[in-house]
Amino acid sequence: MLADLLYRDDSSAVGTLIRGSARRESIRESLRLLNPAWLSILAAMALSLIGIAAIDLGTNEPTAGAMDLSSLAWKQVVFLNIGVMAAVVIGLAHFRLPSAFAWFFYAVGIGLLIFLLVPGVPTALVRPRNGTRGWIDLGPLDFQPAEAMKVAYVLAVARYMRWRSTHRKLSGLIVPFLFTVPPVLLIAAQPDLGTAGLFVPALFAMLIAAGAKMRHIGLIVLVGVMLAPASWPVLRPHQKTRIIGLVKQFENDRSTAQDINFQAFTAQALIGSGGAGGTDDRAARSLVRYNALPERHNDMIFAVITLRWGLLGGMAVLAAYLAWIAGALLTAAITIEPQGRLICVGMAAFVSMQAVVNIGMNLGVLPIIGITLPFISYGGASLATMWLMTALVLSVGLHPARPPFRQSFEYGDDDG
Amino acid sequence: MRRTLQRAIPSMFHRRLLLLMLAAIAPTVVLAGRLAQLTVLEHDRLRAEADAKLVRRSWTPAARGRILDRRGRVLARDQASFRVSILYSVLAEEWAASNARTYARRADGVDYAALDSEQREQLIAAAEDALRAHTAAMWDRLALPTGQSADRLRERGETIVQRVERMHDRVESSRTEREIDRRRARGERLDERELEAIESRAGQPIAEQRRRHVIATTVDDSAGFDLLVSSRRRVSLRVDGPTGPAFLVDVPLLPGVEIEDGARRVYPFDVVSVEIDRATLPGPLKGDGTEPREVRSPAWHLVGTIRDTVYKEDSDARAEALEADEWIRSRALTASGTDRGAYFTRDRVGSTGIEASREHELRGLRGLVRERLDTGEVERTEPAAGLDVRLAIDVMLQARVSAILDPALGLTQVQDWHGGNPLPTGTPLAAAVAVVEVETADVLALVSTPRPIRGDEPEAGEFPEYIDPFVNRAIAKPYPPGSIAKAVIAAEARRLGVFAHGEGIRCTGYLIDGYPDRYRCWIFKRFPGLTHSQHGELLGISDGLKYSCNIVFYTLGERLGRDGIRTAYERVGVGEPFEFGIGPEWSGSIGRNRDRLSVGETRLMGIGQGPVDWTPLHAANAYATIARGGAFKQPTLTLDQIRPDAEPLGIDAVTLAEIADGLRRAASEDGGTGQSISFGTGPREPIFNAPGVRVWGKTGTATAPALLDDAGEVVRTGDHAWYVCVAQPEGTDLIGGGAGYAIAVIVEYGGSGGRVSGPIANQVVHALVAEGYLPRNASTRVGIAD
Repeated sequence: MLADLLYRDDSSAVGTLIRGSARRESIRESLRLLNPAWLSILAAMALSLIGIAAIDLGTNEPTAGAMDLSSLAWKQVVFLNIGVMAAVVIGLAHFRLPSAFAWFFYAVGIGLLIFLLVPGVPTALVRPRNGTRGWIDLGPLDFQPAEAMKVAYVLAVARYMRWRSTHRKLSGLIVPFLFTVPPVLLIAAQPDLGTAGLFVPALFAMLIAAGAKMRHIGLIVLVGVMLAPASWPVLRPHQKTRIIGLVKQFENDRSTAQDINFQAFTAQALIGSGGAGGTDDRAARSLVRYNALPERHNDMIFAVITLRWGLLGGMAVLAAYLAWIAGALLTAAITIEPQGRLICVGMAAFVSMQAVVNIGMNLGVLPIIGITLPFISYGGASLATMWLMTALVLSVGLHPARPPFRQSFEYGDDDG
Repeated sequence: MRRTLQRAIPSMFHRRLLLLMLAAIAPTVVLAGRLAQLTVLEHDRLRAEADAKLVRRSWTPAARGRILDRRGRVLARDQASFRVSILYSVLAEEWAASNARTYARRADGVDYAALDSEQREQLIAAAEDALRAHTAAMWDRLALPTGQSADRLRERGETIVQRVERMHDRVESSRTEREIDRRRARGERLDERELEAIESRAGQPIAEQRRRHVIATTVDDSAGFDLLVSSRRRVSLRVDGPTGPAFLVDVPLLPGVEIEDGARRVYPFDVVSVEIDRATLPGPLKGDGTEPREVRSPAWHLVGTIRDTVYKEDSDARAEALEADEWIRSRALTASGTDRGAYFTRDRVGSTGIEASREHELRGLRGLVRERLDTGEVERTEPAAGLDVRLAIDVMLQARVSAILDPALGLTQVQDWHGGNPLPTGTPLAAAVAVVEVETADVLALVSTPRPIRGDEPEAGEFPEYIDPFVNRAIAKPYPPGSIAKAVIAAEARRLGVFAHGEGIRCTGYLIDGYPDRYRCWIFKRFPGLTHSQHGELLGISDGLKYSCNIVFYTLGERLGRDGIRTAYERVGVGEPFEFGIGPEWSGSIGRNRDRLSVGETRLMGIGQGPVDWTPLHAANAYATIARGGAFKQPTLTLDQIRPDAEPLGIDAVTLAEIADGLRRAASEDGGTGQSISFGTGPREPIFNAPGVRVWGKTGTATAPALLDDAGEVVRTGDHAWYVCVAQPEGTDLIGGGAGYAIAVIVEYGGSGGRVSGPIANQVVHALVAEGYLPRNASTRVGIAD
């Protein structure tokens, strides 16, 4: 049955969807099964499973048995199943299909972000969490438009830049930046500076991959760095507190350990407690519980992982992220089709930035901002988005471009 | 380099991908380094920090030590009591419902995970019933220890719940109104669902619904301790589960109950009743029978006060004491180095007096219960009460002397018969008394009037504001010694050989020929032309003291010179602090500039004037030194400290006998300055009238600088009135008698020492008799019962 589906000369809608064209060839012939995107799939699966174990560690009773998962961990298992299934479907479909709707997705995403901020929207639908208007309450499932916006944004920028080389001029960077401004401003207004801050690095990554001049990028970064201090007055008090908290951490000012740096110092104490090889399950559960680490199943879950599995566990997580990124970038490397290339790079940029910022704040080298650890933190919206990204990378890996595509984004005057 | 790279990777896109990969690896390396730092290099410290959170410490209160007087009477003690407080949810009968599910999930004897939802609900309902019954039974458990009926306690709980509910209703409606106003002001439309949501949020519990409420106070020590133990006990409750019997485990025996330390400091001798025999008072005040008097806070200056506010200085002082004193450290620190006496915010701290200076001994050391939250292991350190401090003071003598110095009795207010006091009759006079046991140098009483009354404003009505009740005049205020110093001068003159045995000095009325208005004898000043040597007699020490002849002592002062006059005072303790730890002290001073005493100043210092001052305690101790056979001892206020040995001053026996003779004659022979007083027209009356008691004494009328108030106005002028004496049972000798008590009395701006302070000294003698220190007749002496 499956073989029949894969190998017959299928002109059905499903076959067309998977092949991305109505060419007459079998689905199997159209797919590049051996491709580096599987590396990302494996890494994503490993990270997701680590996440479920860590959520259980953080939320279950210390005496709970290994198979007696907490309710949140069970929910995450459900989210993972949904995410993986969705990924299989999306990954099999040719990435041209979602790309074809890139403008639509982008517009819908912006619409939803605006909707979140509209005054008068009933709180039953948009209920602020920790002061952030970022979620739409859909009954059993909460939808976070900013998460979906990441995917829509990558698709839109990739679609815009796929045939262009205007970004090789400084003025040509304006339009890609204009793409970035609405989501960044709307998400920052929620306020969710952590997520908003991911879009610019993602854009830079796609621009660099697409061959933008490095000196132009460097100039923009320089201007951005110089202007950064000017943003201090517009920061909200809690945002300033987090930056001050980080400075106090660097000064090792323990007087803040019970207030602004409680979360940071507690996370570091738990990370350090893991030692090289970790602690046994029960001790880890007790330490997490009685140290009262806030957001231990969410933003601070890396601390839980390192407490349980130690330096080795932490390194394994870092390695898994590098593997995911390597998978995505290698997929970009073997793809000649420009849109696929940029999709892989954009997704890799989001995942790597999010992982680095989250782990950095757990380790006390970056201020604590609300940002989840990809694939690991609890939450359906976050997990679904990450698997959607993985699925798109897989889709790029599975669907090689057919002639007459030439190698895209190749220029003779590389200044990088 | 770039070319090499371009040759190796011809595709620009691939080179850019490599760059991006490196950009991802670089921060990962940094993070890995930081991870290694935390997990490997800082592992031990961070693990200890995290482990510390697994231990729950709870402290059990410890009583502060007592302050006792020399006879073991309790002057200050902790009245142990406890407060019982209960969680609001228990009072509101919500606790069982809100905890039933938790206990059901953990129940023994049933596999909760294996139950279907109906069975689970059944188990939860059974758990709720059991917890409800258990909570209801708690009231009976609390009834006996708190001394109140279960119904009474329950009623109290209901009252609290009603009060909190009313409070919650008010808060809820104000929260709702505020939110609706705020949202409408922002232009939001509020549909019914919205309003419901606002109301539901406004209905969130208020702080009072999350905390404990006091249900009983002043639960006594033993019952409180039993409750404390009970409040930590956990029991199992049997319930009928869906699959058979099950047990709810680890249910607190007293759910939501907390027993808190509510100890109070009490001062049992803060109100003392004494009686004064009116027949012993001087003529105009004399009457029949006894005068009952209530004395309040007689030992305020000594015992001191506590406060329940802790300052940073207190914690700093404790840290210093721990650092400096191995003994305190060994008592207070637990094995893990925690100070059991560390200050918490609302702790009681000694503020003044012995309560403050002996804080580190008096302070109790809390008990510590360390419970490992993960394993349930419990380690207990029992609390240790603070140490007792025993004073040399006799609080009843202190109270009697305080009553004597109360202006209402009449001795410390200006009287017509005092003579020459410019203040109106009836004006209250500040005064002080020190009583020192000769043999031991123990300070038996140290009284200063006026003094603060515990819990009251200072006696502002009786004394004017410029007379500060907080100053302990017996040890903290400098007074010119006046003529009472003459005994000390005589002893030193003999020791230094400037006044030979058998030598005499003629009283010429004034010291320097041709200058009859300078260095006059008091008799010449009062009765011009009269001297103590009307017939050319030479005065020795005995006569000099009996008549208090200034010419003799001007001469001795001059002969002693600036070194000799200094040692005369120094050898009886002037210039040495007492270090009693009961607040400010005046150690006495000699000379404005030690090396520049003029001859005139040495002459004046010979009669206790000029640049020299001391306190009543110095005076009493100087006389005790003479009575001790010329052996000096530092006075002691507390009995638990090592007493220094007596230090012989090298005064020969003949001199001591002559001084004793002079003091005896001054106080008991006709013509002695401190023997009798007259009340205008009536006959002279002896100052001392305690039968069976002999007094060796000396008056002093010391010229004092005028007293100015805050505005610079002169408010008091005249002389300070001194009387210093040693009282012993009749039939004993002063020197070597070993059974005497030295008494120093000063009345500020009182005038004549004999007339004003003499009767006070007499009353102190009666007080010593009343308290059993001196016999009621010559043949017996009551010993001190410890």
